[in-house]
Amino acid sequence: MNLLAAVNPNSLPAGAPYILHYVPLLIQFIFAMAFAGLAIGASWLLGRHRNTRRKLSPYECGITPEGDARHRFAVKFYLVAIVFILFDIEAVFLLPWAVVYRGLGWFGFAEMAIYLAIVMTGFLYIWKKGVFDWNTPERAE
Amino acid sequence: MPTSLMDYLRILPEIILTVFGALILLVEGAARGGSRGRIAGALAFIGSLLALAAGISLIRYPGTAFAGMVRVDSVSIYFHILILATVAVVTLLAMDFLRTDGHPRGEFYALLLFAAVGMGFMVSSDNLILTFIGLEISSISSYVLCAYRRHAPKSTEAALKYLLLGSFATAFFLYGITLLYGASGSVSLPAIGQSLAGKMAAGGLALGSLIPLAAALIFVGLGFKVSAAPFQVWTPDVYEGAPALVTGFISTAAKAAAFVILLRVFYVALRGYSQQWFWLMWVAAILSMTLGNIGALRQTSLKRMLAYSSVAQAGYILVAFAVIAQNPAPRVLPGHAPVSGILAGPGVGAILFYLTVYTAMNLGAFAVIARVANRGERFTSLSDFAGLGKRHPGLALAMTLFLLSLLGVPFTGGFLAKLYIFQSAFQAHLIGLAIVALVNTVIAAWYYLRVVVYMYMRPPEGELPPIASSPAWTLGAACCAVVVLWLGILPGHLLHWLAK
Repeated sequence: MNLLAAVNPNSLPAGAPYILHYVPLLIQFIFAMAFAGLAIGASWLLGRHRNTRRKLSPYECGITPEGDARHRFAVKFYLVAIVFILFDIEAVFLLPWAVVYRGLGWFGFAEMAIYLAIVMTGFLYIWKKGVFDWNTPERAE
Repeated sequence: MPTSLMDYLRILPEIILTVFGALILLVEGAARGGSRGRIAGALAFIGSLLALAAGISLIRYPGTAFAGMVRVDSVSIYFHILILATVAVVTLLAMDFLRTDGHPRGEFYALLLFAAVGMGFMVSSDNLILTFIGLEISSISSYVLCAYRRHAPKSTEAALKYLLLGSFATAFFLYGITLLYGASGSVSLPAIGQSLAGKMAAGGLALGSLIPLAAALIFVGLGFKVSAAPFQVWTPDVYEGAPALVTGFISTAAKAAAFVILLRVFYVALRGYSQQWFWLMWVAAILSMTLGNIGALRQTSLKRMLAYSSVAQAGYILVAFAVIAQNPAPRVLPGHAPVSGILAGPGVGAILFYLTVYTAMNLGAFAVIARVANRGERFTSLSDFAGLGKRHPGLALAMTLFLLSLLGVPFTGGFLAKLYIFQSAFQAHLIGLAIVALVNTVIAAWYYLRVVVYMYMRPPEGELPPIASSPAWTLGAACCAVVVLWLGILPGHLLHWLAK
């Protein structure tokens, strides 16, 4: 089997093993690894190494780092993160729907309306529960 | 295939539950102060009853929906009724639990309904992807329910353990699905069955070794959910830490739904390989019964004891699965399986009967524990139950009934349920398995009866706070008791119905 022929999956003979469809992916993987390795390796080989204490300290947007990185965070941050992911995924679902909107017709519209109604229920719920009140301390139960 | 109104009708119970779950969240968001939880409870009860009615009405509309993803047959209707009735009873019991606990939050009910949605899809799914989604919906709701008493370290610990190990088990299940798809080219159960049967007839598979591996991986995932040994290690910790009522729910309805998946995957899709998976069931059955019963002997916490007992109960049900594997029904036409096709095999009826009785008696037992445990669940040890017969005769009587049924004493549902399983094992010439099951029943007598002895023949130890009367709780527990007694004395109705 000519490897180059496999670059185009359409040119594969009918009985070829299915895994050959992934040869382009393998080639891309090799190129990606080679490129990354080359870039890092070249800068390591060509660059000068004069390490000072200051240069080796962790980079924290230019400010001198202080304290331990492992301290406890308020649970609010996690809530915000979870809420962000939820609505992020909602947007991801909306995009392909918008692309094929005309083809789906009223059925697609109704399905998306139901989906959005469910999402809005969740949104109203977390709003009422005060997830967006970032300034006030957690409400007493 | 365009979706028709009929498709939506066949998932009506799930639609109703979802709508009511969302409603509860809206009401709960708007509610203030004293009304919190109360409206939600009423909504949940109405919702579960409506869904139950919808589930019963499915009898008139058997068939498939959404291009064969959902199959409404006798098994899915039967378990819809069982699960939704359980949810209705748990809702009643929860009204008491949430008030006693002092933190009435309506989210409890919403999660309960969402878990039921997942279980509904689990029992009616004919497609492994939908099965997986149903499993996840019900599991994630269960994880949160376990952490309901979130200020109690034990409750959160239980939830975390359940979440971590549960995710791990789900990964196994998913990997099994992947391999099954790789071997058969489909995720639809009948199509998998047909493809594998066709390939077997053509002289075996090129990828033949994948099937036993896929079956084993799927069994690991589901074995975790039904807490079958050797995947039972999480059970005592989670069942002890979670609120008693939640334990009652996840040890009955969730288990029943997982058993249905087990039945569908192994009976419909992997029927041709029953000689291989017979040993999976055989080993798991013996291990579950033995480890469960021996583990329960030494427990002083009642919740922990019942956790081990539920492992053993899963073992008895797996005996029936071994029977199914031994006698696969001769007809292999999964694509055209008639509605009653899945029930035709020996042992399947025994599984359905056992799960029904088990649900009623186990939920009942946990309901009594939840009530005696009282606020903050402080009183769950064996010594707290000492003298209960004098202090609260009604509670003690109910507990006795449920424990005797779990043991399998005549005139309770548990007796006949065990009888059918042992009978089917003897008929399938699985004498060894049947003898192990019988010996285990004798071992179990010790720890079940010990609780009864404590309740009636020991003086009370320490002071128990008074237990306020609660009509909702009484009604819910009475439902469980009636089912246990009714199936014990007059099983004919259900058996007749199962035969149809």
